Amino acid sequence: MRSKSKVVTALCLSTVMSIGFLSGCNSSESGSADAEGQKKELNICIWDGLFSEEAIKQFEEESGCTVNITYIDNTDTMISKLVEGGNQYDVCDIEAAYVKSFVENGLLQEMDHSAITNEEYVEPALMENGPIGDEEMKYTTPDSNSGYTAIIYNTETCPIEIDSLTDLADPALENQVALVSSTISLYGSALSSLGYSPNSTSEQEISEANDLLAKIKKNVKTFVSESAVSPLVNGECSVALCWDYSVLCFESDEYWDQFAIADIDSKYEKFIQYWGITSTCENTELAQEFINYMISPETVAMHVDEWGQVPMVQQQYIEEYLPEDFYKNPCIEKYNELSEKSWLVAVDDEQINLMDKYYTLLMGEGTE
Amino acid sequence: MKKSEEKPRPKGRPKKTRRERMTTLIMQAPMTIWAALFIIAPFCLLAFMSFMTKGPLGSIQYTPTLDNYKEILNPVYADVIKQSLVVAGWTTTLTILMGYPLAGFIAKVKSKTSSLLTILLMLPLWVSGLVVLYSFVILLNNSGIINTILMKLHLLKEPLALLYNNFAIVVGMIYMFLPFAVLPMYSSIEKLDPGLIEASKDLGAGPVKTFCKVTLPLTSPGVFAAIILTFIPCIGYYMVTDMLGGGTSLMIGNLIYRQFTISRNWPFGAALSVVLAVIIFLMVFIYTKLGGDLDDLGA
Repeated sequence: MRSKSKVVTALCLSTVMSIGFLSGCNSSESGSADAEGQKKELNICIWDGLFSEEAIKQFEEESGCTVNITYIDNTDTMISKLVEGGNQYDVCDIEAAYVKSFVENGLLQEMDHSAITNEEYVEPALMENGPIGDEEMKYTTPDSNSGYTAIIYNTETCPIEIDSLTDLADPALENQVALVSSTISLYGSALSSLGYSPNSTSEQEISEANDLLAKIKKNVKTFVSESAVSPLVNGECSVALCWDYSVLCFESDEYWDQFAIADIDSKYEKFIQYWGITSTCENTELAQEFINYMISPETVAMHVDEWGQVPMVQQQYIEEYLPEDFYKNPCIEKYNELSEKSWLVAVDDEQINLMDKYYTLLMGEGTE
Repeated sequence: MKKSEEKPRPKGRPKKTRRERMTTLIMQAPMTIWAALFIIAPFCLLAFMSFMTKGPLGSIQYTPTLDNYKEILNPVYADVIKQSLVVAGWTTTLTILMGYPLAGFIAKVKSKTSSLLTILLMLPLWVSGLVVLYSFVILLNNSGIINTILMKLHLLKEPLALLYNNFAIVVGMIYMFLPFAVLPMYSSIEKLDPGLIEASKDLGAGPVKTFCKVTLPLTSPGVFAAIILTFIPCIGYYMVTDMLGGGTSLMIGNLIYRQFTISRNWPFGAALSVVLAVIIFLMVFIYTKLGGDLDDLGA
């Protein structure tokens, strides 16, 4: 009898496991069809922490479609999902640095910009110059915000004046520097500081950039993969090369005077996100309708107000949807200034391999 | 005498009936299916991938090559593996040195207290490692709880550098892996016959000699198990060095992570993972050759 109950238990477990496996393996085909036979389901792959879920819900209500969201926190995950995971997405939110690779590898389809009427509200500078690899913006359109990889310093505790990236190697900053761990941002900034193109694939130039970073590393207290806000705010570091100036400024107005972006003699990396429709998307009309909705001034206001970002929609069209004091934030003016002094990067496979190899070497140097 | 009693008793284990064999098979099925699908198959896929070539945008080209393994021999990567082994070695040594007395204490106290202490020891394992590490950041940073208290008490004028250094790494590592070390050692010490220690004392041995000649040798299976259970996860674990140490050096875990993400070189990442797996298999093999029991490792 005991044996029988064991068999029954084991069979139940096997059944439950099988059901579990099968229920997880749902069809990759997106969605049901409406009366006209068009899919009313949209699969999107977007960055976490950039878009208002409330806004997406409103789109679902207005359009009657279902939006299935996959959140990512880096482009590498998106690429893995698109390249190795059998492209199941209709719309993607892509870093400018990767647009070239996406276009060259046929991951995107051309957009019908006449259907994206809200592009007229976008900052003209962004619409005039597309990302590297899609300069004419056949495949992409800017999404809600942009930013810079910049040197941020604590105005009260930073012991020196910072005029260039090289200043971060000053012994006065020993154990006071935080750096992003992104190879593109690190080596791009170092290359730019040395007067080379941030998109250089020359091993000699990347090696020189590595030498500069090795000097700076002696002062580095921490490398941060996401946000350098913590070491700056908790006083561990007085200076950081990072993406977080807008995060700091929108978090609290107490930080407006406490932290500033260093005016350096070279340019800073500008990062912009772009909307793209994947080459496998069948319902391009719905995808375009979604993108058009997402870049409308009202929707962008929801995104930037929720997450604290600098909007890419022109002020006169968006300010009515934003809090009264939104444009008093110093990061907006600073970002407008920096747009004249910035560079865009386009990721190249060989360059990434080379940089990553030097990064491994850099991390092996001077370790305790 | 009955006919059945005339038969000689079979040697070894009694032969199972068909029904019993079926029962065993069905009982083992869920775990076997699980292991085959989610452990063996992915590992085979990983090993296969490690012999392939990297394609554009992180894709895999099915052209066999040994280049990924040759690349590991490049001093840049070999140093990272060496560094990981050194950090894992130090963490294991310190964890064992701290864990052994604790295991002995838990084994000696009354049953109820022992259960309570074991639960307390297991508590960190119930919380996500990431949450634990963020808690350490809050605790150890310049404006963190420890520094704030010490400065409020006027014991310090300036905050102590407790975060983003080797001290923070050691604290974090020991905290994460102490339960893995203490539990097998506790199990060994608890099984130790107190009579043997008494006998050693009666024969004139002092506490140190008794420990070295009786206690330690008899509890060594637990110590070996603790070494394995601490060292193995330590080699690939990079979150502590990243979050508490400041990420100023790379561990093999970082390197593998970067190949699968930033570098998008999956075949090389797979080769590194296979090398890590081989190191682990070798450790377990040596452990069994030294007389270690896989049951003590939870196998």
